[in-house]
Amino acid sequence: MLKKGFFLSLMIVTIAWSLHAWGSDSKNYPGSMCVLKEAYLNEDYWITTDIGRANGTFYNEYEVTVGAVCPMLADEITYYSANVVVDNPSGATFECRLISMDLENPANIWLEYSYEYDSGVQEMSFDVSDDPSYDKPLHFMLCFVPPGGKIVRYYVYEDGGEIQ
Amino acid sequence: MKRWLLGLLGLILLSNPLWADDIKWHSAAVGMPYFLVYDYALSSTSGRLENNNPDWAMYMHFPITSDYINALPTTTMPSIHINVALDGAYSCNMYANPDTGSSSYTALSLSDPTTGYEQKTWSTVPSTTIARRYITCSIPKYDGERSGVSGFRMYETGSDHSNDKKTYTGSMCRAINPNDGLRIQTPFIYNVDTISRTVFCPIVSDNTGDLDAIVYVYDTNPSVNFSCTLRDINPTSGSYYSYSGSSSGSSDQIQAIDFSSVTSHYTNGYRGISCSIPYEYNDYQSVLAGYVVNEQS
Repeated sequence: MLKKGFFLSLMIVTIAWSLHAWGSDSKNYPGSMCVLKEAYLNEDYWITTDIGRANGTFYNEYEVTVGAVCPMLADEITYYSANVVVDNPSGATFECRLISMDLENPANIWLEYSYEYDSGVQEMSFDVSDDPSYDKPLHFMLCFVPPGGKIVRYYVYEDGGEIQ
Repeated sequence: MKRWLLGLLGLILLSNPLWADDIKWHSAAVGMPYFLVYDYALSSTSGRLENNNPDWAMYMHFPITSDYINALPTTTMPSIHINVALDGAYSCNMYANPDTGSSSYTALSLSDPTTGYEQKTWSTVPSTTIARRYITCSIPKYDGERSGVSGFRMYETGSDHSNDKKTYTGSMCRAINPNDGLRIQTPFIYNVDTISRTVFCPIVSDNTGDLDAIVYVYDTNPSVNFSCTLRDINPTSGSYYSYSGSSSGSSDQIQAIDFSSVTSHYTNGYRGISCSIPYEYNDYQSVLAGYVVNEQS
């Protein structure tokens, strides 16, 4: 009886693990995937050169906060979890927004904010509990990187798709 | 225990995607110069990122999309194949940097390459804990012929590559000419110029089978349409299969440019979509919003 129970338990765990694997997706992106959001910042400041990509990060070498658009290769599914690792040497406000936009109707947009105020390498996470299920979602992150700050990497689990 | 139960258990174990391998073909158009310079070139037909500077070599940076999140293997990392066009001294490094601390990498160098496409492979990549991975390449200067990188493919163990569907933001697209009047808004790419401009939008492929794709655009120009071409490019010869599509008229509504059946492809081809974005018309800018690529197994 013990032997049968053991194998049954093992089988259940294996099936559950397999279903989990088939039903989720994961991606890990270096910060250097991010691109500068608009060269023009305000009437007094033009960024005429691109952003630094030291060691695979998105590195703000400027004296002003810049926007970074960080794309994701969405699998037409919802978020399961999303995190971003940042380096914030100054301890200034480091804001990131996780955004899901309906590609077929971009007026439909969902976003979740996350903030970091501490200095050093920090990991920020997003609450994705109410992520909508658009048929064709554009998943991306928008960060406002303070001077000297870096987006180190970001990683996302998506729910309901395939592992790719 | 009954045999059929053991058989089922074995079948599940064997078919579990966690033990399958993953391959990703990255078009070089995911990359960019390490420092912004205005003399790189991005081929509108092949997505090759090239050095157009006659005076000095240029560092190019290529981020790698990885399926790994929690941990990397403690043993040998998957190999990466890189396809390059060589003309003179050249080197590439692949990095796997942990969030903090020192980086690790394996250098791939060529001291006396011949002209033309070559494919080089990293067979062993150092293991690390959680990491970001990327490649930097030094591309020789322009000397009557442009050198560049056409793409790279990556093998990962522990994940799968089967049917796939991915949605890309317009911000993934790159201007063919670095001085072009294109602007990244969240997360679209706009043409703010007075002439039509071309972008190349990379595809990160899990396989090289059939696919279909849709490009979503706002065409606000009544005189010019979006003109898009999806290509499957042979990395060694530069030849390609191409499929064309366009927008229709002008509208403030989003339009879909449909590539419904792409069935001609190379065994190790790289893929991408080039689009000519209409010029700004009466202060209304045309926009490439995003693109969806559905790969078949």
